[in-house]
Amino acid sequence: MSTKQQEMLSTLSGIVERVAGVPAEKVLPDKSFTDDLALDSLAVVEVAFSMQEETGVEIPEEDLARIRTVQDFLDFVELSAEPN
Amino acid sequence: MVIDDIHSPRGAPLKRVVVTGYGVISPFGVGWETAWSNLIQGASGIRELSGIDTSGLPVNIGGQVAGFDPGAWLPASLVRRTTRPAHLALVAATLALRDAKLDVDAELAPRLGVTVGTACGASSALVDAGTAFAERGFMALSPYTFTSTGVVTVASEVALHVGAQGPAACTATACATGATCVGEAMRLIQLGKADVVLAGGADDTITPFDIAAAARARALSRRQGDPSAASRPFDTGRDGFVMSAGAGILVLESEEHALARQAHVYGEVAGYAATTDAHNLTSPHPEGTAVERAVRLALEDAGVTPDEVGYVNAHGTGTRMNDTAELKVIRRVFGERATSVPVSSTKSMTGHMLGAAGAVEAMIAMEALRTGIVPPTVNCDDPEDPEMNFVAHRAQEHAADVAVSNSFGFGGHNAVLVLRRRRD
Repeated sequence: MSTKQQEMLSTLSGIVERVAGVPAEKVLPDKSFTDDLALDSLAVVEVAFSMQEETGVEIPEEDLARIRTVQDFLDFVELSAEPN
Repeated sequence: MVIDDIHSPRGAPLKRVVVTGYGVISPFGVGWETAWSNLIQGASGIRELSGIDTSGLPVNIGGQVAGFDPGAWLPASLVRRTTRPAHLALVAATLALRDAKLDVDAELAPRLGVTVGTACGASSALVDAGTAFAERGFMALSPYTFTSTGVVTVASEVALHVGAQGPAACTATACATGATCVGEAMRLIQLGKADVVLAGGADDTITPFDIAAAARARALSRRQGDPSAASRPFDTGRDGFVMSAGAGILVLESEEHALARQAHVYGEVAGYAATTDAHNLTSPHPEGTAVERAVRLALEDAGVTPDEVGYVNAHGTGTRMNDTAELKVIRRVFGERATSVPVSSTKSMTGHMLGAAGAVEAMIAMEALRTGIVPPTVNCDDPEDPEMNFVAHRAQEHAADVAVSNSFGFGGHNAVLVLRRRRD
């Protein structure tokens, strides 16, 4: 995992803890938001919303539907944040 | 156990309803004890507002809930997805259940109801979301905007948090909301639809938008100088109400359920009635005819006469029209006794907690019966009717068995509760 992704993971795990009450240390790359971390569908959207507030990267709902794991999320944000 | 001569539509005797828990958050802080001890000392919770920008507004005083941190009471995720009125309601419900020493287990859950209302709800959060939406569009909205700004959210979140699976609803009657919710909870229990109901209301309108809106409706006092002197019910110098934040939730319980678990009982919710002026959206009917009907019907509902009433906790907002009309009704209903029955408006100290007011005042009336101490009407320096006992300035001792708590709201909503002291 790149340093950038590690920084993003730290941001993301903090958000998941605040939004869903899941301890940040349990938010690991291979975890599924719904199956492993037990987030409901609104909580996943709220996580994306909060990430957008913090990083400026928008995650449209159609893309969010394809994001299953924490790693998927980090990959998406990293790709979207790259300058074209 | 049951009221002998009144029956539900299907013929079952109505159950008696008692109060076994208080949960309060007020401008005096978190908890019933701090509210009551300040009230009987005649202290004021009204201050110059801090932490919000009131520049350009004609009002910069109110009753803020100081030192309230919802995160100290509730899971972070719950705090995050809800707005301030819900935070207040959730913590007040938690305090009430704790006070009642009730655990919500599998047996109680389906018999536990919630009637928690709000007058203004999440108006300020809705305005913020609307502003973000206008500026940044679809992606600016949190997915919880829809759920957190709904009218019923305060009741839904309380039911979800405590695990109440009986009837749950938010009933709103503007500034009478708290009393209406207590009254409707009483009915649910009387009719056997629930054994226990968390009943009351919550509001936090101490935001620039809400203050501006209420001030534009010409409802708020614009008195300058000492904030604690601004709320002046029944005083000739009154010029409007003072807005406050707060929550009040009572645990109402069937007497048989409370006795079976040997619960501590504060007193009985004995009567309730609701009427509507249908006269004007904001002004009360000057003669208070529908208010008088509500008081008389509530007394009849409790099976008591006006002569048995030993304390009236007035609606007493400190608006010119409310207090004059309410006074006329008290004069008519109590006749010769009107001048000897203590009548106080505790809004002189708490300010007007909107949807929470009627519920907190039901507790105050009940506690006055229980302790024999009647909290005062402060700032009543020049009473509109000098013959009346408005319990001006200082608390008084009165032994009484029955109290009336009046609550009226914009829209002409009138809700009157009759409380009865516990007969040991």
